[in-house]
Amino acid sequence: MPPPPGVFDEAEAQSIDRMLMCPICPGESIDQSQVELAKQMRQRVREMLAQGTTRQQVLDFFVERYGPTVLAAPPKSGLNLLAWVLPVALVAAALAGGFLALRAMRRGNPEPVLDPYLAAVDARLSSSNLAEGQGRPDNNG
Amino acid sequence: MAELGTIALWLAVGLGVYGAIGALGGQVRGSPLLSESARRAAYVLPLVLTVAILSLVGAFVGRDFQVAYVARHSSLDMPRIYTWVAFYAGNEGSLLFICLVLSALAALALALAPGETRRTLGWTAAILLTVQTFFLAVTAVMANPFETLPLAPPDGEGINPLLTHVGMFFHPPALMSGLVAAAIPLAFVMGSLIGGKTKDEWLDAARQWGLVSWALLAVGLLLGSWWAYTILGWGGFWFWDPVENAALMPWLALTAFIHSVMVQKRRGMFRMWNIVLINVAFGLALYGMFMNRGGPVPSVHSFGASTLGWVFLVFLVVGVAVPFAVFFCRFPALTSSRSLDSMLSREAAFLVNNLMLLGIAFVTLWGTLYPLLSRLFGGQEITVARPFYDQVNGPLLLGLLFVMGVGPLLPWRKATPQALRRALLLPGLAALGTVALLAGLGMHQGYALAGFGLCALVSAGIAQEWWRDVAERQRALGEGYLRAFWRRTRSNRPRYGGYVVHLAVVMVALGVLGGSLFDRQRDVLLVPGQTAEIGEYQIRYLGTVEQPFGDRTEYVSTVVVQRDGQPLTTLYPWRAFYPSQSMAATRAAIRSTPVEDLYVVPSENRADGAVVFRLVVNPMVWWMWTAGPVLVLGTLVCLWPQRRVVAVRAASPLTAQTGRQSTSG
Amino acid sequence: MAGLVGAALALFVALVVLYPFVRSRFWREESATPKPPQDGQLELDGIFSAIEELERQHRSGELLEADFQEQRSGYRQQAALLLREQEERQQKADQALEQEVRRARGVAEPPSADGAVS
Repeated sequence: MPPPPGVFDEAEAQSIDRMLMCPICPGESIDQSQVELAKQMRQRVREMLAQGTTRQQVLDFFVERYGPTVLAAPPKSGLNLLAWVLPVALVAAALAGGFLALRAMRRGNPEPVLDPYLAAVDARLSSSNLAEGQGRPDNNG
Repeated sequence: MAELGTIALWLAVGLGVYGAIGALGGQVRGSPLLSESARRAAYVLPLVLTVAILSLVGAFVGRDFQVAYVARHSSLDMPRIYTWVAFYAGNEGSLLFICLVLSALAALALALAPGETRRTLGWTAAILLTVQTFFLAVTAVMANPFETLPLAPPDGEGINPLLTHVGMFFHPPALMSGLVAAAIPLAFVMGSLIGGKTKDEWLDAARQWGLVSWALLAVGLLLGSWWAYTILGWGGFWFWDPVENAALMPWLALTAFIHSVMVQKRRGMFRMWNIVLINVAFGLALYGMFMNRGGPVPSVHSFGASTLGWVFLVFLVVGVAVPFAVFFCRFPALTSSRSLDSMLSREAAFLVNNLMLLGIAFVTLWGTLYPLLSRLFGGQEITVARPFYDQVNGPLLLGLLFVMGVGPLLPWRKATPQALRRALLLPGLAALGTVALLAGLGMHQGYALAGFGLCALVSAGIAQEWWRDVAERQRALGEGYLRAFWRRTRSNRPRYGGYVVHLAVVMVALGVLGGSLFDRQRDVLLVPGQTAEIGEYQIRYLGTVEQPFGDRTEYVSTVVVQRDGQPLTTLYPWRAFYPSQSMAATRAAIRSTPVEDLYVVPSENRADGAVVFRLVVNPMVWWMWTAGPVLVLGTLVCLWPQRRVVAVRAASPLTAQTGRQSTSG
Repeated sequence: MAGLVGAALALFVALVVLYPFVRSRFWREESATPKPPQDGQLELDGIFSAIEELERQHRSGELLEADFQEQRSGYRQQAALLLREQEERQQKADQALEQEVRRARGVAEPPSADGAVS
């Protein structure tokens, strides 16, 4: 249901502010920037919302005026879909790869090469424990 | 003063070149004398650079505008206290500062190198000195802060007003130090590998210095956010700016490294992976410096475009290529000694945490580079800013919180079903209870519910583990709880220090969740005597006073804050105009409580005394800034030298002697 | 003034950096730093005594079960690795010795024919 003309949702306006970059200040949205142009654009957003314009129409209006760089994030369509899909796909692939790597590590035998040496260590430990039990001859030096 | 600086700087360049070549030659020709001499060069470098820095500071204090750098970044009417800030406000001074920090940290690292790494210390010194020589040469040749003007101007241009803020005393130095400090763990790892030590020789040194770099970056990032929050005047603290991202990425990679290296320490796994991680972290740190010095993307934080960018780009490529080349040469010797027992184990959780952290770093890198790629290959100009990162990184950050909650609760090797139940039952219930409570109170945003639930999971998990450990000791030894707590914490500092840092991260998460999901904001035009409302606050604007200073005019507004008719406080936000720079700066007045911040900033002063205020209510942001000291505390607990079991033993001379050696294991 | 201070600084730096060469020239001391033990035997002893200490602490209740297991298995692993390294070194040394012997024989045999003459 469209809001009655003349009334607009300030929260919606602010969320649109954050989706639009200020064309003349490096890396700032019109919500952040304090230059005159940003103030006018904020004003324009509110006027358009008050006239019952939808969010997409507002964004389209500014894109037409200032070019696609005015959008704070590329649209999820066309070639720009790549910007969104690639990182998500890569992170998913990395997690899957990590899972497979872990599973492969789990299947591997737990280092048979080291086993005789571990056994030797244990043997020496138990023998020294025994010695300790008999009066710890080595500990008073 | 400037001549002394020039002499000291060139002396430092000479020392760096001699040290790097000497250390390399000492290793290649097997000459211990040459190696020692080169190491001594590393030890005197901080002294020489201190002389250089003192002479630059002297030029600032003495208002010596003959020095071009001083003339460009200070003025007669500038408050003297900002000399220190002006000192690294430009490329030249900040590079000199980087040189000093790196030389001091490198000297410390070489002097304190633990036993096993001493055998390959020559290589480590060669690497560190090479990196230092790069920075020194760039400073001396391309960005010399001691260059003089033919004619001293009567007054300087003054400091960028945005920089006159307390946060500026610590934010840039912390970040720059953190970025260069990433060279030290890398130098230990690479030194060991080149020297043919392919086991865990570098582990302790790399972990400790990795932690130092990590903590410096964390503090720098927090201070930077705080600076942005109080001075940029829009009520937020983080907007995924390219330079913010550039500092965040190495921090993420280092976070992965300092976790994953514990798996190597405890279980002998992930050795190759850790080498890759530290290479990536160093590469990202170099990338951060490149972005900062004339990178291709505009930002509020950068030093501005310059030819320096190209030099740093080349250094970045070399700094990534060489370590990876070394890694691949040593690849066959690097196999880890253990395999995984179960997917439900702490080591598996650590790997997931690593992948998530790198995932976030990659998304961030991708976001910064995509506009360039699109321009180069698609021929289309686009912007990638906050909405992109919020949407892509948001879920990943939540996932990271989850792993942070569950990981420390899982035992090493393998979790039996009973152990799992015992570890996860209470924290899980705490998380579900929190979600149910908040949903019952009317919160309906999925993000917020998940985020707060996970915060509860992490905190409850830490509390449970800590309590159980203390109680077990208390039962076993019959000590008082306080004493048992103290002793227990001292017995395993890395673990409990880690818990403290995790609590700090939870605090940051609370601030981020509150500040970015529940902020309320209004822009209002008020004439003196008028009142505006935001939330349950009534803001009454009384008037503005004009205060002229030497370099600026401040317009200080007086605002009385009431809540439900009760007077709460009076705030004095101001806006200053700097005629010499034709620039304005604002300072928000913030009433900060653990519940919420009320943030008032004048964004426009009209001639008739009316003021446009931006009013923001930011819930729980207080927690974020409080997290800083907690994080530092936790890191110090981690770094504090662990009293080793061996050292306790007053035994035969033989064991006493060997005690020192086995600590390196 | 600045030039003077700069020269003094340069002189000091040169003295510090070149000191090792000066020392070796005039004092001719034997290698100042004792060589680290090569065979890892001392390290091995250290690890064994560390494990014994761990067990003592565990028995007295100072150390938690989980910590004890974790640290003990770490030390045990290290000891095994060292043992293996020792054995490998030993094998290498044996091989080298054998080769030496074989070479000595190989070289020695033809001369031994000669040697009888000389």
